[in-house]
Amino acid sequence: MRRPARGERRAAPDRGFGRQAATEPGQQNQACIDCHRIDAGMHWLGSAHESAGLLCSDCHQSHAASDPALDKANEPALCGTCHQQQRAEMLRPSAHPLHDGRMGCSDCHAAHGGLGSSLLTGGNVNETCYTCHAELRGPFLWEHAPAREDCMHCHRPHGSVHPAMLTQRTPFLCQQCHLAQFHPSTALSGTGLAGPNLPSGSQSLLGKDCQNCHAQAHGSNHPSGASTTR
Amino acid sequence: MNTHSANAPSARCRLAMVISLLLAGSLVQASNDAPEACRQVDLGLAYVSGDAFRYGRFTGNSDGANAVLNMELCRGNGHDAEGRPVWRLRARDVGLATPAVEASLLRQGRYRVWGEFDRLVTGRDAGQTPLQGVGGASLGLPSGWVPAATTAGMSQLLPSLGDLTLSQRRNRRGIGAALWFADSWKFEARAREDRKQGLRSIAGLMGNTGGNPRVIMLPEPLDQRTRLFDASLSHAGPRLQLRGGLHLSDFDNAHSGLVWQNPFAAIAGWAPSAGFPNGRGQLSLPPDNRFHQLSLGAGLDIVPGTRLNLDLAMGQMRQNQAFLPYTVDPVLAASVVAPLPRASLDGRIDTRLVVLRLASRPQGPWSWGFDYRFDERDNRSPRDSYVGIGGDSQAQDASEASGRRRINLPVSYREQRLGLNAAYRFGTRSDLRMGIERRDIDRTWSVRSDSEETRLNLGLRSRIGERFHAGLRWVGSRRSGSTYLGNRPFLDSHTPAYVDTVPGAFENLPGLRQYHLADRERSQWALVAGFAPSAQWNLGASAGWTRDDYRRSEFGLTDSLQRNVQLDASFQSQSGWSAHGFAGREWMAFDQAARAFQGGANRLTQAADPARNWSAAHRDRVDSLGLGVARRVLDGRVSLRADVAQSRALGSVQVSVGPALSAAPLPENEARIGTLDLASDFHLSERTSLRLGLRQERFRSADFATNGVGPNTLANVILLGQDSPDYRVHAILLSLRHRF
Repeated sequence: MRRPARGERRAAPDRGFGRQAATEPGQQNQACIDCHRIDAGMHWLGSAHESAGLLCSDCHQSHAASDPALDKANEPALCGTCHQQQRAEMLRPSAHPLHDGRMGCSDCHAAHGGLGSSLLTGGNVNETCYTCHAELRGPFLWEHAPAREDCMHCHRPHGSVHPAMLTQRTPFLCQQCHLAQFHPSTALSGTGLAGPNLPSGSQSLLGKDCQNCHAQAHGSNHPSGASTTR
Repeated sequence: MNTHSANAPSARCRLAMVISLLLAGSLVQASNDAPEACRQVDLGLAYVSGDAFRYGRFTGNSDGANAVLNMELCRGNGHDAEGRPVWRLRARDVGLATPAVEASLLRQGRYRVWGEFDRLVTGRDAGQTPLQGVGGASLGLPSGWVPAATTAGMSQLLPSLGDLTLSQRRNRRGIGAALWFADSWKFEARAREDRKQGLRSIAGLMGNTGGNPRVIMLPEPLDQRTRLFDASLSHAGPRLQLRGGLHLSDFDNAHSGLVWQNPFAAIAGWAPSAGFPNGRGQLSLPPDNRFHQLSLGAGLDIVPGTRLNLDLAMGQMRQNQAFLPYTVDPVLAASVVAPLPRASLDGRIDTRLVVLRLASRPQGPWSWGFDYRFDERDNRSPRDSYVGIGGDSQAQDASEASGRRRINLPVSYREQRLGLNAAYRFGTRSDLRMGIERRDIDRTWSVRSDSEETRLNLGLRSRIGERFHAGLRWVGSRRSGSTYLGNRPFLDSHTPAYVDTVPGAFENLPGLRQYHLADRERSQWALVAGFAPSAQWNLGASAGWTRDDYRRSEFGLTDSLQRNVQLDASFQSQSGWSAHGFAGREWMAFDQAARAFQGGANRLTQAADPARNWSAAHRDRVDSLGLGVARRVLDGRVSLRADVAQSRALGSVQVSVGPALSAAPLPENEARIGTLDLASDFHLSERTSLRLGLRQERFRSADFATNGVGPNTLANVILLGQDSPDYRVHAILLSLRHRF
């Protein structure tokens, strides 16, 4: 492109970028995809963000020396402008360190589309989680079937009010799937709290409740560990 | 014991500061044509006061002074049209326990190489234990230990307690390189190693039934390494893009098991050798394993605006660590007449993934898409009969009718999804979206072998003028499936001879429906709106409502309702003021039903007795509030900023019981966190500024499971005495920022 002479009027750009630009959104994005076909562009068309009508310029600053969207520490704030529910969950007492700047949304999500549902970087929820939590991958001799199927059956990855990012409070969460004779089906309530005279209190309710004994909730590889206590 | 703390600035920190400053100074000469934003150094001193276990949960810091260095340096920028090399160095929190450093070298369209390191510290929980050898894989009791059947008789328990800190440190190192060649080809390879070390708690149980367990909570040593390697070759043609990739992940655990000395005396139901002093227990720790995956992907622009994507991935998860023995107790091991059927599991899960997507965005008002997804995890691990020894406390019972004779269930999973979606644009300001998705799941060794779910969604979005936009979305789904066989895993994992001894031949109540497999009707609403009354103001609101109805579940989770409301506002004046705020409230309600029953002669009677029903109503509420204001004063020479954030979570569980049972109320649980951040930047010159920051954090929590529950609270479990955090901490930061 010819540089305009001093005083000469600069020609209008072929395409404008941003919400106020006259250029049609698809054409705006196509200008970026033309160079980023193999990474950002590979799964863009038809992805959740593309379907929602996002522009590349909604997140990226192409002319800045440092694009804030490419700094992981900025991602929770940037993504949180639209994903307000997830932003609120990050503030909960038990959460991945997103709000603390030690982890980015892109550690689990491919914002431009990918193989996994919910824009996950892995092929599915568990594959994504195993990237950092490979100790839970197994396969184990004694599998805990829901854990093998989907970590989110029990965990809320953006944050929870319960320890270990669990969806609900234990032991009650466990009792939604385990109602066997004796202690698994016991009605645990304030009668199980500790009294003034020690020792007292229910071992199924206090401390780590079910995990006071069943330590291997994700599965056990011990030949005597069928009850996930080994 | 393995603790991680950073108190006063160490010689290492000071050295890092000096080196960084020297490096930064030398770069001034070398990079005087780069944009300012990527050439800055912050050097600071932080002082933290107060009990700050949770405050330092991801930084590893405790009380005292710390030196902090942040810097960002570069030469050129990524869009250098002349094709000159561009390098970048970014460092954060150098001097703290959690530094992060990344460096890259890029030549646009030719190559890129990079490296990174960061450290994360998590946990930081205080506890107490009488065990010795903490940090190792064998834990013993102090001399003079007095065993007893319960903690009541353990006179040496409290005097023997020693402090420990449960904390994990993860170091991550990574390198990578990308090479572009022959115009349209790219090769990329990256390797990463995560090493996790530290301590966490895990239960060490002795005992062989639900009636005779004795537990001491153990500090589990962590020394785990995960190595990841990814390589890919890509072709980016104008219409066709291809990508082939290899992913390897290898997990290595330095500890295969954890042995501890039993602090309890032998009790009824245990073999005599299981009690103190000779009784030992052994746990298995996460086994070494690996995962490898090959992937192929293709994307084709069939015509402009219409694209076809096909992705295939095939992989294998493998685990073949040698089994630990049935028991670590040599006396009990001598009773073994049915040896292990194999030395290791030889576990294998084959994974297959197919994703096909066709999407079209033609010029007209309609657009549409089609998705198909096949996700299979085929568990090929061998199935055998194992005769376990319950909690290192009994002789092996290898009879055919033994409940200890168990057959493992290598569960498999296959999911197929088929989706269609369409959108219609009304001019340039509104659109209507709709979609339907069908999901089918097949499982093995499950109470429900087939599940099916149909999901519909409908959304409307609109912009009114330049100032207002709003959207409303509804999602409804219905899940059902094959006949629910609640006792199928029980039957499949025990011998028929044992099943014959169990009245009713079930383990869980027949009326139970596990929530992830149960019939479910879900309805979701989401509303979002934004309003910009002027160029300075932006207002936003969103609300969500999700209702799950487990309509056929007599027992288990029966109903849930989750609601949330979020409000946002921001203001930016031309005179240097800016402000922002948000407020939100979430409500979560879960209802579950159950029936308490015991074993023995009354088992079936009680399992059918509605007077033994109980239910739990969970009600959680989370409030969050944030306000911030910033102002530049004195002709922009001073910037002031203040931020306040509050979050409060309240949780209650109300247990109601039938006439045959008794119950008492449970106290509410609460977690409340409040932070105040004050910062002022004094711009000493165009390139140099001084920042003074103050942060206060107040955290209070109350949890009946841990509050005041010490090592000797429970009769049969020696806990670590981890209490709910409750602290107030102040942090002061003074830093000098220089831009080159």
